[in-house]
Amino acid sequence: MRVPARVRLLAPPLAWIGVFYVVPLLLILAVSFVSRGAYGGVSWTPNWGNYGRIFDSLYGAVFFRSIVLSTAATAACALLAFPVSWWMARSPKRSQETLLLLVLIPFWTNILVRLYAWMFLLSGAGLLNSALQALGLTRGPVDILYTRGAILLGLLYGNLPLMILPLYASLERIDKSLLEAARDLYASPAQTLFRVILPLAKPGLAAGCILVFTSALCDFATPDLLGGAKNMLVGNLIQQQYLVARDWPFGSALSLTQMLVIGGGLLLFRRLEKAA
Amino acid sequence: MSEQATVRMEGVGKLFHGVQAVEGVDLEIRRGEFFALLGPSGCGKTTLLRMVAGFEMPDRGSIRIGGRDMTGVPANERPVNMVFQQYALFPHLSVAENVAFGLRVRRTPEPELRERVAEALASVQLAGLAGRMPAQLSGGQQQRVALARALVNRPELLLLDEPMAALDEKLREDMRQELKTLQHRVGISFLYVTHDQQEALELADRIAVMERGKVVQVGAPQEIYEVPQTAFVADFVGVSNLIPGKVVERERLLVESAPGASRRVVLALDGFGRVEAVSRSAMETGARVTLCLRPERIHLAASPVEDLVNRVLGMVERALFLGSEIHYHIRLKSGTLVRVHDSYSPLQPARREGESVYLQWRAEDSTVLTR
Repeated sequence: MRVPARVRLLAPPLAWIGVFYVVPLLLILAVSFVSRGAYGGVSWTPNWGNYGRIFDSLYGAVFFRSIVLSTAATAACALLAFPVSWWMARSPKRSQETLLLLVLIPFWTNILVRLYAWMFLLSGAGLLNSALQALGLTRGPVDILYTRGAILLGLLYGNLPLMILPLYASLERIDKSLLEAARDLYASPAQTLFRVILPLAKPGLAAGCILVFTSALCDFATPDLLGGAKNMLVGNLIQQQYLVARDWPFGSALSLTQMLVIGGGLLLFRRLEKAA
Repeated sequence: MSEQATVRMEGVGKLFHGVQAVEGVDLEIRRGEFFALLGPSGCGKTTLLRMVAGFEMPDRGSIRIGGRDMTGVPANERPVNMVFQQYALFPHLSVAENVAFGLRVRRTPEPELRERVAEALASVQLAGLAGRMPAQLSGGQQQRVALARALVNRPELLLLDEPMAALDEKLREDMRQELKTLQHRVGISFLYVTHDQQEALELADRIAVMERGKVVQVGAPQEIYEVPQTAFVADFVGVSNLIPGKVVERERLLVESAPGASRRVVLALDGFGRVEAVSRSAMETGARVTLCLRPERIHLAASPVEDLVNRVLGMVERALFLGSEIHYHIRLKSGTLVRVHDSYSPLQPARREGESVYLQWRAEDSTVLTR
């Protein structure tokens, strides 16, 4: 029997996704509706209570905090990445490659190493506190590490390239003559930004927002190392349920809920984007 | 506006990376005039245009538009609008919104805005395409949108930066006609930059020919073509035979009263021998000159014609048939190559390659260039 070319081309990736993504996801779905075994692991007796526990005020607060921090990190990334990307896109063609490389270099270092560096900077005896005291701005050390501010800073730092790259790609494509045309048609620099540059940068900005938001919401290393125990996010909570509490069914329920939150966030985002 | 000139440039100069892109340009564009800046690429014509638009600032000299000095005035505050070479339409806006851009920025009331956009689109025959996006338009349609987008603002001066360069030949001819008609209708001064001499000759009321940052001649198209002032102009505008030589005899004054009285001179041209010509300026015997002889002014004949004073024998080396015309390359005995354009008619057979012919012309048919 002849197999159409389309099917032959699609078969390997479909098989890959099926075996390594769909099947595990279905397993997680199944596990989220059973009970926890006495010594960890899974006991296959039905249990509908895992999802109910999420609405516990404790876990609800974790979700709320995660969404707020991820949204804030996304917004901060967008604000910070825009001028950087614009400047990169308007630089001479030859230096653009170098600048891109500089954006990517931090990715070559393990995230844990980079987070430890941040801890070193932010801790009570760290560089930032020493500097503040040396300048006489503060008397004793200020709590910077293990605060939500530190998490936000970490999320901003770790995800900035995810915003810069797509934003740069769409800004770089804006022809210089379009900016001149806007100026020629009486637009001030600010009006040119809002009427021409931002609308044309929208696809890149949207892609960057989706990437940063998703990555921030799933992150567990940053909140763990920079946020400490009292500032738990969804990522830590899931990690903890699987690895520490060994409550796989609850961890699975949390994972699926997190997916729903991200999916819902993206839908909401698309709505906003279309309305704008 | 009290001044008669829309634009007045005085001593305008601009240095670009250590190169004098524009140097000492004095120009005046009159109200309602179609003015062309003509020159090869890199001659500074686009830089000059961009200085009028406000995208570049001159290093020296001044530009006045409508009597107002533009020094330090940014592009968005100048009473000019531009049609860009690649049109630069906003890809995220519909045709109507592209045209409305300038009016919206200036907060024109909505009813007036709509009326003016509709009117502008109608004037470039695009009334039906208001809702389209730029990417859905052909090159010719995009250019019309660019024109409407500029003209809707009723500028004092419309700047056009090689607007035909992106169009194919056939479309270019149609657009030229339309542009001329449009300009007559709106009565706005046009400053048109082009490297295409044909375009400039056909469209412009006056032309400024530029060479290496300087304006070398300003005048009406016929004047530029008939009385080029330098060898560069003669060569760049139209086709010319430029033949070096020197003055051997100055003769009697022909027209004494006329401005720039003409004198008959005799020249010894390299490869031609003695030739009679007419000169507008006084020149010394022995002075080095260049004779500009337009190819269509040379008469070809198998035997000498009495009243054509200049005559030289040559051999047809090449005959190129171009439909309404035939272009000949004719080799003189001295080895000099002369180009001759003859109109084609089926009644009069073309000269065959290898045939011997007399090249003949009157003294008035050529121009003597001292530069």
